[in-house]
Amino acid sequence: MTVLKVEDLFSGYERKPIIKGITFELYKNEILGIIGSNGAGKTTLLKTLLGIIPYSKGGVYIENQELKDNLFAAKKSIAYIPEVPILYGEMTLREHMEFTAMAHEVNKPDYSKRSAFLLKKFRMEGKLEHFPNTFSKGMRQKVMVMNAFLYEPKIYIVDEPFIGLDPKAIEDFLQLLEEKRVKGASVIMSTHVLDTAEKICDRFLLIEEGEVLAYGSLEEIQQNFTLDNYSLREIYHQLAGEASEESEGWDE
Amino acid sequence: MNSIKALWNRRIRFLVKLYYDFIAFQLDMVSLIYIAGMVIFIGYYYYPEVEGYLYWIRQEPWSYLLYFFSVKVASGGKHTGYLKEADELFLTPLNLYGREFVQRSHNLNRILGFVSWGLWVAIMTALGILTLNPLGFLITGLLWRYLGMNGRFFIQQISGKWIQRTVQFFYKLLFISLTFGWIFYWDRGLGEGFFLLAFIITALLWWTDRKKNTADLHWSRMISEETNRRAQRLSAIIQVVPEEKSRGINTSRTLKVFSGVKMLPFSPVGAALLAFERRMRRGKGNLVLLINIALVHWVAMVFIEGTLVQMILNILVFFIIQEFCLSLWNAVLDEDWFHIYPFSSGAIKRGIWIGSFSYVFSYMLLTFLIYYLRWRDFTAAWRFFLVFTVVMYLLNQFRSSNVYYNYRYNKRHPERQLDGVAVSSIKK
Repeated sequence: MTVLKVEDLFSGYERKPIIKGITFELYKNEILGIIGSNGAGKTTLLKTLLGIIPYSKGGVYIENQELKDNLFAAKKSIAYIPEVPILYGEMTLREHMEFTAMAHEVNKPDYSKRSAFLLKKFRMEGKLEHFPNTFSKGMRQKVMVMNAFLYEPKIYIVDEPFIGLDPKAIEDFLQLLEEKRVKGASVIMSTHVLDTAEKICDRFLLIEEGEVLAYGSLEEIQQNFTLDNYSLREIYHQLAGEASEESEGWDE
Repeated sequence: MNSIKALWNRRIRFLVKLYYDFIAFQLDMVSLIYIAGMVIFIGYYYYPEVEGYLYWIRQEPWSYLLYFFSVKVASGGKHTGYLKEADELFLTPLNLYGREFVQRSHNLNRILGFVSWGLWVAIMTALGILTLNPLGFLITGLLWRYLGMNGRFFIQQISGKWIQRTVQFFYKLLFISLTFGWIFYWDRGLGEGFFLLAFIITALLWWTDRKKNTADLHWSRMISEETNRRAQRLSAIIQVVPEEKSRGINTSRTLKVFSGVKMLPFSPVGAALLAFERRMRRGKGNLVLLINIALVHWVAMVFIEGTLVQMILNILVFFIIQEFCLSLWNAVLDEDWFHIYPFSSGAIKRGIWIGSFSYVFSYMLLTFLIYYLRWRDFTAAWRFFLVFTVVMYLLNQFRSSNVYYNYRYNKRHPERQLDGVAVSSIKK
């Protein structure tokens, strides 16, 4: 069952779009990995799906409803974990969590239960009255992760989630994500950690300069590009042309 | 244009914008109109009293206070280089490029010195409290000011913290003594002494200027001191806290009693109000400024007798508080989460309305309580309160709709306009 459908999407600058004609689908209970080099357009794509960046051509459909016509409903069904934590300097951790729960209309008993669970899981119980702006990079990222798991969205949009997180936190985060997936949620995850992506993602969207390089499950991509037994890393390097670039050293 | 000049121009434009942002936040057009209105109104209403004060200040011993304050203004000012840490690299060799950069900055400092001292002389002349020839007074004061700036610049270059502080102490002592001397001679009419003094200061200024432009400077210390000083100032007034200094606001934590929602509804309206409240109290809300306005207003309420003056004063202050709250809403709604989380139109509208009106309403209640306690006229206080509540209610309805409209249609950030048309100014 398709939860999110992106058709021939163009977004970014009016005269020079960053996303150029991307088409893909996200199914229920799946994790879709967005893979691409720096500046490939991953974050722009994710921000377009969130409605932060408007699109000039094509369409984004969440449960068959066009995003720009149903922005409020779309926002209700999405949880976003940004690459760089977006935090309020003047709000404590407790207030950040309450703000998220209130904005998503989580009732108070549910909020209490979930927040207690997440704080314990990410070992942040003692930090409730602290201002997250003073936290370390990893702890700030944990605040974003906890906020995203406070409510029950249909889609998780996760941008470079592993940056700054300690190994235990990564493990806990992936475990939570898997639990949500099993319960029916879908995930779009942009990452550079290809080995982990290969293990946890069901399908992949490889993009470069705003265009699709490859799309599908690992097996489908291997078949389509006749790269049998290639790992995701090898496929990506092959398609993105990095392997050939690596051979061009400074001497040349 | 030479590259140092281009770099300097760019730096000054950047700093002017930074300070303008602060001034624009603290003193927007509404506040300026308010202040100008208050000054004109009170000045006009109390003109005989003001005239009395001006006469009084011209008499001894109070005139000495004015003289002293004038010379203090004249002896103020400091040379700043407007340097940044990276300049140690970019302006190499510092004795060539760095010096050219700093000289441009010092020229700007002199213009600023001229403007501030010129303004003071103009005010004194306009009020008729300057007994000397204004032009002569302007020139001597200016030379005195420039000399003081040069002196302070040299003291900054002295190595050794304690030696620097000691010299600074004696320099201040000398300057204050000379200031008193000047006041004394001024009061006695000066005459030729006035020109002699101007000549001595000019000669000293010429000599210090020459030394300043040729002496070896402690660049690295000068740059780091300037950068730190600017960072401290910015963190204090603009609350732009440099990343390396502190990532928090004032502190890393707060007490449980001050953290979290207390009276707010657990709903999207509550979430909007939570963000607004916390910004008002802990962020850039500048509650202190609000309290200062309130204190001045309430003190004026106690002393001003005219009903009309009180009415106008009240409406101005209520209006300014409402505008203050609404400008804060603009900043709150600019935050990314308000564009990512599902806030309905109704929730945002109600949030803006409640957030601003609650402050104005509570303030009106306190104001009329003070009015009642002072004048013991319950009927008048009650009538005032009723009329102002209706007026502010309607005004709040109108102005909060404007703020919501700006948010909804992203007047402040057209790149976020979610109508499906990509615009060229989108920043990634």
